[in-house]
Order: sequence, then structure tokens, then C-alpha cells
Amino acid sequence: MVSLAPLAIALLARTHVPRPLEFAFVFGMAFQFASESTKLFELFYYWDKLVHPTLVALTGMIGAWLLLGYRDAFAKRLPIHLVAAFGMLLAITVGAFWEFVEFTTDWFSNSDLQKSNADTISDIMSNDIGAFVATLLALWLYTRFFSQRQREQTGHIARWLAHGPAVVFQKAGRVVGTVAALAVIGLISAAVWVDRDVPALAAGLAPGSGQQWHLADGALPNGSQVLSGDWVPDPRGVCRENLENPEPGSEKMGVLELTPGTSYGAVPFTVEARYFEERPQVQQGSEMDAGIAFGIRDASNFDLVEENALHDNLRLDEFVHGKRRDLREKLFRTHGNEWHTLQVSVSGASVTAGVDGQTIYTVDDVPNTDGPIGVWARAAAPTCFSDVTVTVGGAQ
Amino acid sequence: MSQTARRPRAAVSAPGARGGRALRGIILTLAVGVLLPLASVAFGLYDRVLHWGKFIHAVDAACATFIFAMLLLGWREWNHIDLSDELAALLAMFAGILFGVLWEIVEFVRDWVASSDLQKSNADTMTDFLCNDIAAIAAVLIGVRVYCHLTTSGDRQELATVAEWLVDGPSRVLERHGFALAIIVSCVIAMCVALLWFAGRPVPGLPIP
Repeated sequence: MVSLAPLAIALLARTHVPRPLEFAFVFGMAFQFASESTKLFELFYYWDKLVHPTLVALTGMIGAWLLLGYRDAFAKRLPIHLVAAFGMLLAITVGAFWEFVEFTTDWFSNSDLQKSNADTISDIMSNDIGAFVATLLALWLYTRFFSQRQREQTGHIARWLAHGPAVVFQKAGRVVGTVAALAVIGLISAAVWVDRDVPALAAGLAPGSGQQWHLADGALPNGSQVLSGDWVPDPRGVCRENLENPEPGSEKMGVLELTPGTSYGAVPFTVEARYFEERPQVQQGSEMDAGIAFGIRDASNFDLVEENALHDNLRLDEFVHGKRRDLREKLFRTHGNEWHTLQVSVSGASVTAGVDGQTIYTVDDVPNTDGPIGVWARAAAPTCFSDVTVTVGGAQ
Repeated sequence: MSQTARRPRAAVSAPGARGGRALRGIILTLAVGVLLPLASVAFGLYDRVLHWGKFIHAVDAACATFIFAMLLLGWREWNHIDLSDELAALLAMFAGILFGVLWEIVEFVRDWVASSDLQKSNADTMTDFLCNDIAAIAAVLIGVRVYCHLTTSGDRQELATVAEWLVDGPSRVLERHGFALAIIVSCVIAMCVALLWFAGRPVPGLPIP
């Protein structure tokens, strides 16, 4: 439907849409939807770094062409430098807005579109490079290949597109501004509202004591409880596997609660987990994420320290009603098909996270840290835990 | 392709000789934008006041956008550019958003290369963007209102002179060496991306530092 927009514009604006303009729009739409429907974003690590700048570049090109066409069709005084700046800034803004859409989608639906801070910023950087290249290309293509007739058609489309919004702004600018401001306030309020009513810790939980689990014994540990996902014993330990064979990118998280009925947090405690993230086969997906869950309320509400071998970061999250709220993140490189030890020390609201004996960061205002503990994984291929140790108050 | 006629280069003089109200306003806004973050670091306000960083992001974005909007509007009027108020406001808004984007990129590069700790998490970055962009939009609305209702003809001419003085050099370079400049910028971008990629990674043929 969206790809028919040029046809609709041609009918409504009563002019022909020049081929380059039409091609840029249809190519952009087709590229995005083909990438999504064939799961290319999940199959190839950096596919989004190709799609993002391409779409942003096409947007910038279309914006620059429309303004150039408007200038030429109606003999307007607009320096080409200004048009170039407009095209580039439009593209950069669209790229930034796209990240907002992803962030908002993640916030309300846990769709995991923004994998990490580095992912977001590298998307934005690739967008900006795309915008720069597109601006140069747009000016070159316009001056070399657009016929006089195509320029006039582009100019008429630009005027038709701008006419409606211009009339609305002139007649009811304050109303539009007020509605837009209220929409932003409403969105921010809704974002806070969805995180209300985090379940309280169950009453009557026994205080946790030091324990050690060796998980390579061919069975789930005694007393443990699977809160979500498939957990399968194998010679490497207890592994989070995707028995339902989800599409790449649709892997769900799994939580194995090791101490149901027991709460840690009355005194400082430390959890260490030895884990192995198997590198997925090509076409299987790319997610490799292992973590330690603590302060567990239920399958959807807990705190988490996770190491991601795909995105090279150690992250501290709070899951609220099944949606991830990232509290801290730092670059730390690990690879798939390697054994590592993840550790988290909790003292009240202070959480210290590390990998392989190396402390990476401490966060002092983490909510709801008390409760049962467990292991967590979201991965395309099996992620296994061989040993877990919890130490309370400095003693195991 | 028609090019907008420009005033003779000789007409571009350095601003400040008259030092009028508009120029003082621009300098004051710039001073707030530069000094507030420095004072915040000096007094440790980032650590003492909750969300102070967001506030600084917003103030700096507002200052940058306000200055850009005022200069663009003045330059447009002085040069008789056919840029409507709405389009000028949109362009200034885009510039404010670019300011936020560049700020976050600088923070990210510093974290990546120098292991500093400026970006705490993705949510931190996105809320910084949000503060920046809301402030940019507000600043544009204020800027356009101030320009249209509170500035005199002299103020506008002064703003135009400042803008013309600022863009004169870059315009001259772009006109004479645009292609070479594009090549140089492209090479610099490619080099920066390569440096970022290999920061902390093994470079083929070289030992890890």
C-alpha cells in the first residue's frame, strides 16, 4: 500500500511523479520491507547499518530534490548551499527520529529493536554518513540528469505537499503546537505509567544462604523452577535452548530460578555463574546473551546482569512487566564458543557487575534487588551454565 | 541552475564594530551555552543534582538552536532569500537536532576510545536526545517569535551581518574547492570509522596495544 503513494500523489496533485523520485521512494519501501520479511536484520549482524543509512539517504535525496524543484519551478531565490544543508539536516533528523520510534517501541512492547547504546549510536553515525553522501549525490543527480520538465513536476509536487501543512499552520498553528506538546507529554506520562505496580516480594521467604550448584550432572538442580523458556540439561550444564525453533530475531528470554522460596538481599551477597554462549550457525540467528537474574518477583519482574557476546557489552537491566529497562551498560568484549564467569555483587541498592574476575562497574540506585536468584539467557543457539555459586556476607 | 545573487564580498565586514543589542544577545546566549557546562563540572553539579546532565543538554541545545534560528532569519531577510518562516523554523529545528546528535556522537567516541564513562546506557542516551530535541523545538518557537515581534530593523541587519561574516569563509571555500573538500571529508569519515572499528581490536598485522 505504502509503495503506491507516488501514484496517489500523481492523482491528487495532478502532475506526473518524476521517475527518480518514484524510484527512490519505492526502492526505500521495498528495501525496508524485504529486509524485515526475510529476517535479514537478524541473519546478518550489520544489515541494519546498511538499511538505516540507505533509507535516510533516500529521504535526504527526496527532500533536496523537492526543494530544488520548488526553487526552479517557481523561480525562488534559494542558494544551493542552503538546499544542501536542508537535505542533509532533514535526513539526519529522520535518522534520529527513527531511533526514537525504536526506543518507544522497545519501551512499550519489549521488541528489542535497540540492542545497546553502541548499536543506537552506530546507527546514528551510519545515518549521518548516509545523509552526507546522499546530499552530494542528490545535487549531482539533479543538476546532471533532471530534465526541465522533471524539475517543474518535482516543484509542483513540493508545493502540493507543503500546501496542506502550511495552511494548517497558518490557520491553527497554536492548536497544532498545543496538540503536539500534549502528545509528547502524554507519551512521556504513559511511559512512566506502564512501569507502575511492580509486584512486591512474596511474604514468608526464607533468608538465603551460601550455596553452590554444579549443573553438568544431567539434570536440573533440585528445587529449581523454570519461570520461562526451555532449559535442557546437557554435558556442558543446564542450557537455555529454543525447542520451539523461533524465527531469527524472535528468540525469547528464559529464566531458571535456582532458589524459589528463598530471598537474598537482607545481607550483601555475590553470585558467580560460569557460562558458555554457543555461536549460532549462519541462518540460525545472531543473539548470544547470558545473565544472572536477582531480585526475582516472577517471570517478568527481576533485575539482571547480562553479558552479550554479539554486541560486546555487559549490561545491567531491570525487567518490569516483561519489558527491559536498561540501567547501565559498558563495552566488554567476549566471543561465542568460550567459557566465561559472570559475577554480580549486591549490597542493598548497590550492584557491582564483572566478568572473569574483572569488576566492570558499580551502580548505586538499583531498585528491587532483594529476592530469589537464577540464571537467564536469550540466544539463538544453546547458552549453558555449568556452575553457579552464591556467597552471602562474604561466606559461601 | 540559478544561483542566488550574493552581495559583493567587500560588503562583508567583521561584526562587533557597532556591538548592538542583537549581537549582545547572541554573545550572551553563547556565553550561557559555553559557561554553564563548565561551571557544572567545576561545582560537581552533574553528581550532586539528579538529572543535571539532562538539564544541561536541554539548555545547550536551546542556546545553539536559538542562535542558529536568529542568524538564519536575519541572513534570509538581508539576502532576500525565498525561505518562508515555517521552512526557516524547520531548518533551525533540524540544526538543533543535529547539535544533539553530534554531542552524543562525541560522548560515544570518548567512551569508546578513552574508556570514559559519559554514556551510562541506551536509555540515558535516548533521554538526552529527548531533552535536546524538546529544547530545540522550544528554542525555535521562541527564536521566531523574538525575531518577528521584538527585533528592530537595525537588530536584523546586525544579525545578518554576523551570519554573513560566519558563512562567508566556508562559502568561499566550498565554491572554490567543493569537490576537494568533499573528498577530504569522506576520507576523514572513512578513517574515523576504521579507527573506531579497530579501537581495542586486533588490527591485521599489528600487535594489540
